[in-house]
Amino acid sequence: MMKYDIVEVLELSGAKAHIYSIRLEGEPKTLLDVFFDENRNEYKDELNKIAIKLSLMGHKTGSQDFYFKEGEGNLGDGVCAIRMGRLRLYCIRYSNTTLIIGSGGYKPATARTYQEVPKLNGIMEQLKSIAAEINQKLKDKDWKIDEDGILTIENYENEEY
Amino acid sequence: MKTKNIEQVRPQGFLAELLSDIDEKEMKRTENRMLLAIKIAEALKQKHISQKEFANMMGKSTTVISEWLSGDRNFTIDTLTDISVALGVSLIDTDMTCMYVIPNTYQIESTIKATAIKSRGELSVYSTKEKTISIKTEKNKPLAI
Repeated sequence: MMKYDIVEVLELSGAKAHIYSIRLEGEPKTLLDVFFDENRNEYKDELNKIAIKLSLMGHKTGSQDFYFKEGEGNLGDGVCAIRMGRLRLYCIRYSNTTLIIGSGGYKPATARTYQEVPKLNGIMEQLKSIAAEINQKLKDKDWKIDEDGILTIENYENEEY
Repeated sequence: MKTKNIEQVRPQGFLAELLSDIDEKEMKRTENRMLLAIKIAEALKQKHISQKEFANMMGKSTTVISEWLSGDRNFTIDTLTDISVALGVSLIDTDMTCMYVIPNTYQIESTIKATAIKSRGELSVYSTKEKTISIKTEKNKPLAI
């Protein structure tokens, strides 16, 4: 089983939504940070727009469902995508107040689905697996998300990390 | 049973760079686009109109409607007018009662005639004299007159 932490991203989180990302075990940076670093040379404009959009979701608008392309993962798992030009950033959206951001990358115009792009497919498989684990923890009430979007680990002693 | 709060971290690398240097104008533009999308989505919800039905109403594809609601669309006034008419909502502020904007002004002074009223029983005494008043306003904030 993959080990990771969910961390809240200060500066993106605000009065309207709590914005989280995923930090894989042993990694200093979140998947969100790595996504921005990996694409900084080729897609600076798109990344700037995504940064602004995420900041506004946290502080002004909330993570409304219609800002995302939904249904990217398995049925009802909350996995969705922010699309900016040909760049995709995959997330797990729980409500207007809770968003967990994963990673993403470039999707060529020739590809109809992310499955046709090996890198994106790998990222999505990882995110779908994490979403399944989180959803199970929420179902078992080991983790809790309140109506303000605050995620807490209720049953910390049972956690592996 | 122990409860653990989620760790909070600051963005690093390029994301941190971008967030520290956001263009205010671009931020406001995006905010307006995203807020407009909320207004349209709320109108659809209130009127129980699906995105597919809305697409048919507007003579557009569902892909276009998704784009309108994504918060990334830079609408023309004509498109906003068409949406306003179709949904019966106001998306453009054309209210003429609030049209005075004093750019880059923090304080203005104006001389007005003030009327002093002094009443004693049924006898009222009116006198007029000029008085200078100050009105403070925030930068670029419309001043309703």
